[in-house]
Amino acid sequence: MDPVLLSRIQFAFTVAYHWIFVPASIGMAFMVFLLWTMAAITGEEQWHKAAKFFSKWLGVFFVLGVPTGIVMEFEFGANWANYSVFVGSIFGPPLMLEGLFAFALESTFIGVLLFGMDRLPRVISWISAFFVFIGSSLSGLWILIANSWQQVPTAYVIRETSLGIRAELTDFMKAVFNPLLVSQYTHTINSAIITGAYIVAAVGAYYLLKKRHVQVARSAVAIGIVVLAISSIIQLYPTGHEEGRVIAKYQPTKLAADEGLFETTRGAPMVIFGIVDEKNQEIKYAIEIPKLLSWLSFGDWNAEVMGLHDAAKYVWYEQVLNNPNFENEKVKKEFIEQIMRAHGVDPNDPQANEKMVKVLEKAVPVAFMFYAYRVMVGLGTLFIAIGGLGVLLLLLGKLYDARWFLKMLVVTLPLPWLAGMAGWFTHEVGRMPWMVWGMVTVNTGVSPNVSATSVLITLIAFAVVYTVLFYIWLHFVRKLVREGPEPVQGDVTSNPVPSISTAGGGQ
Amino acid sequence: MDYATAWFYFSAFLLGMYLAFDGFDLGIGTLLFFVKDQRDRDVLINTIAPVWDGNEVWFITWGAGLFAMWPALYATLFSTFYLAVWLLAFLFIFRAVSFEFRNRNKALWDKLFAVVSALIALILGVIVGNLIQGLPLDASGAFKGSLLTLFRPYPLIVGLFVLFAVMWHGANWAVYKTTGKLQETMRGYAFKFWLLTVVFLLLTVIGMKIWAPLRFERLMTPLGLGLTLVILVAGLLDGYLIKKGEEKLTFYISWLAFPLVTFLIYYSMYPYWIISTISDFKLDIHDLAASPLTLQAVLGVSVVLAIIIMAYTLYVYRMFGGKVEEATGYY
Ligand code: HDD
Ligand code: HEM
Ligand code: HEM
Repeated sequence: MDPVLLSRIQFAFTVAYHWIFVPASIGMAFMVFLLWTMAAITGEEQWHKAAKFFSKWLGVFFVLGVPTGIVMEFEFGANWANYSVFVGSIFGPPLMLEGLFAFALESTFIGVLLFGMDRLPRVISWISAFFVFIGSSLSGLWILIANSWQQVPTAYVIRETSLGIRAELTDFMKAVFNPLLVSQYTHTINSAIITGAYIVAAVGAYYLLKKRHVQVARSAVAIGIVVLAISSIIQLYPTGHEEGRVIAKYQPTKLAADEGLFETTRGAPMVIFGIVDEKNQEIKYAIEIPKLLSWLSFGDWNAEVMGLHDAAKYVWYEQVLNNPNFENEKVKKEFIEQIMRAHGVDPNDPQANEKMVKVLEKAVPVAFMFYAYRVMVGLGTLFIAIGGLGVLLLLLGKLYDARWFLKMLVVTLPLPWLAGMAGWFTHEVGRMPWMVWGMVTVNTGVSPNVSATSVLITLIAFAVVYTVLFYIWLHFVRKLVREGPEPVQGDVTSNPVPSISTAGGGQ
Repeated sequence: MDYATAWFYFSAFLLGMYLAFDGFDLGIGTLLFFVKDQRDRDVLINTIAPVWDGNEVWFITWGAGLFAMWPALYATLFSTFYLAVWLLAFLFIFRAVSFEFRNRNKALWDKLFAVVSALIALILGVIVGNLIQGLPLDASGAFKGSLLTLFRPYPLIVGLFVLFAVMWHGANWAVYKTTGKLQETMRGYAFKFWLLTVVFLLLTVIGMKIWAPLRFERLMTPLGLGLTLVILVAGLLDGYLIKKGEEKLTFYISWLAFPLVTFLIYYSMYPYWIISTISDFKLDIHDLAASPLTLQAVLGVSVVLAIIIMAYTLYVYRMFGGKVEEATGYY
């Protein structure tokens, strides 16, 4: 087996697993802060109980978010050693500042929140919830700085050093505020808030269906729906739209794959849906809106959008061979030959450049990208609809009795994760074969001295350990659902009418 | 002082803080081996429950600091010792979850927690021991050993030293936070492990002379020697105070011992991260470092942040101050 492929599978698996807990932690932290705020403003018992209850949920996600994140940090050094040497000067500092800036805040105050909420004054819990939210979203900030930099590298020079050729920073702040950061960061954090809002709403809906903890449940559904409605609109515009524009400018192969665009087109249409036929390089049964893609990407109805082949050419000739950030010609020559050799292309072959274009073109799985991207955007649209409908029902005063709506909320709870995962897979698979755009590919970034057997062993270990953990973790969640919030006066805490227990997601 | 040197000692500070903070909860974890009574174990766990998550910050930051400032070191060590690294990672995972999941089956998870805590302390010590002794690298820097190389006698001595030290530290913490019979038992352990710690500290220093002469030479400079003496005196004082029944001061001293010892070890290693045991190959902290701009850009802010974290951490410890008597679980 190929150590590169195995390392990629391991990375994808472990990071996707990390991402189960990340959006829930960030989103819950936000919701919990809102709930403690509501409790402070209204002084009403059900808000306070809801705040305490969902703080426990936050804890449940945090528990696995931290160790699975530490795994990611190890993975860079262990599996992607060359990549780490190459970008360590740039990638490392954000990771370190993350620990000092964010994780410290997050983990210290989650302790205060969880262990202090029964005995310390409420205002301390409120402040702690605030710090946990700030901490977890800052922690996302630092890691996304690293991620957006590797997608759109800025403010660096490629230099020969005693440790080999590597990228070094020329301007720290410019590298941090690379063109992708703001849109990617807001889009990602907001996706977490969608997830948090969905969880709160769905848990509330579950209790309403069961006729338990009714007052707390109503508060939860109401606040969850309102946040969902607002955040899902922000997810589309401006954040999602902005991100698309940056991608169009800097990562044309990714855009072409996202949109299933094989030929360069003026006034390119937006394909709503269709079936990708990779062999014949076309989209069958396409339902499309004329010229929309050109307009969305470049603000011009007739702008030219590169097809996959031309995009790959552009990337190789303009972004790689014409990259102005090399220290000198010698470094450039050596560096580019390294990349070629790593992909089985002989640098002395007169066809070498054309072959590299082919490599780039083949590396992006168009069908996968096309569908993943549509899953995300489709679900995003669905969330806007659900949020809007929910707010409407709330305004009409019918939300708490609309059992079909509540049932739907419970059943669709996994969807925000699905949308976020689809987003990440588009984002990351779409930059293949690059780990760092235009500089490091998966073949050049992998650890040179780790055997396929070693990676296979750890991959299997991860599969086993993570599965067992997940199973245990689910028990934990079920226990939390069973216990429910502390009773509010006049509420029914246990189910009086067992016959409704058919409603969604049951035990 | 140049930036690489400043980072080197800041790295010592981070590791020292990690051992001082997480050290006592690793110690408490390991001590669960010796505590049979379920109620007592609950009390012990409750003494560390609110703070242990925060304690891990220092470890993550120490690791990320290595990555940021010596990426080539980080990448080479992690990929060369691939399987060992992942073993450590899995231990951290198990520790985190056995702590949180223990209410499901206490007897089982407590054992797991104890084993894993002990192993983590031991392995951290072994890593430090390997850094002190150096590795079998040929003149070009290629590694000429196997996984077993990591467990040579000297690294094992350092490993045991760290293990006993965290148990001493953990017992001191337990004495500080508990009352009654449990406190008495813990006082007994504090003394026993104090004794072992002192013995293994001496072995670590003497072993340097045998296995890592270059490091030992640096230790024998006035600053190194002076610091060694301070640590020894403070250590001896702690044993006396434990016997006298002191509660707080003993813990403060063992707390302080960790950054001091870490600093001493870093000092003895300066300026080489890695030395070869079979050739003249050495990796100087300056040659390995990240680009100059990287070193400069975040040093100031990192130091300031570390101080701020210390401040609010202390505040939180005060908030959860006082004795823990109840055995009720938080989860
Ligand atoms: C946008 C958010 C985000 C993304 C993309 C990632 N993480 Fe993460 N990470 C978090 C957001 C987060 C968090 C919200 O801060 C966590 C998750 C749950 C938690 O409790 O803290 C966390 C925990 C966490 C931890 C342990 C505690 C900490 O330092 O915060 C580490 C070391 C990492 N992560 C490292 C990574 C790495 C190397 C990633 C790249 C593949 C990564 N994370 C992706
Ligand atoms: C948490 C959300 C994330 C998800 C779900 C995710 C998903 C993925 C996936 C699916 C791959 C494999 C692509 C492939 O091999 O075809 C990948 C690779 C990778 N990702 Fe991400 N990613 C996430 C965040 C990040 C972040 C924040 C970084 C860096 C700061 C990052 C850096 C990388 C690197 C270096 C690889 C290399 C392995 C490879 O390219 O195959 N990822 N990611
Ligand atoms: C509503 C319409 C949406 C649009 C127009 C949109 C647009 C985008 C775009 C253009 C990207 C960059 C992909 C790439 O790099 O190729 C992206 C990534 C992503 N999306 Fe969306 N998105 C939408 C909805 C959602 C929803 C509902 C979620 C999750 C709840 C989500 C989560 C993500 C995530 C996690 C990423 C990867 C990280 C990033 O690049 O920010 N998106 N989205």
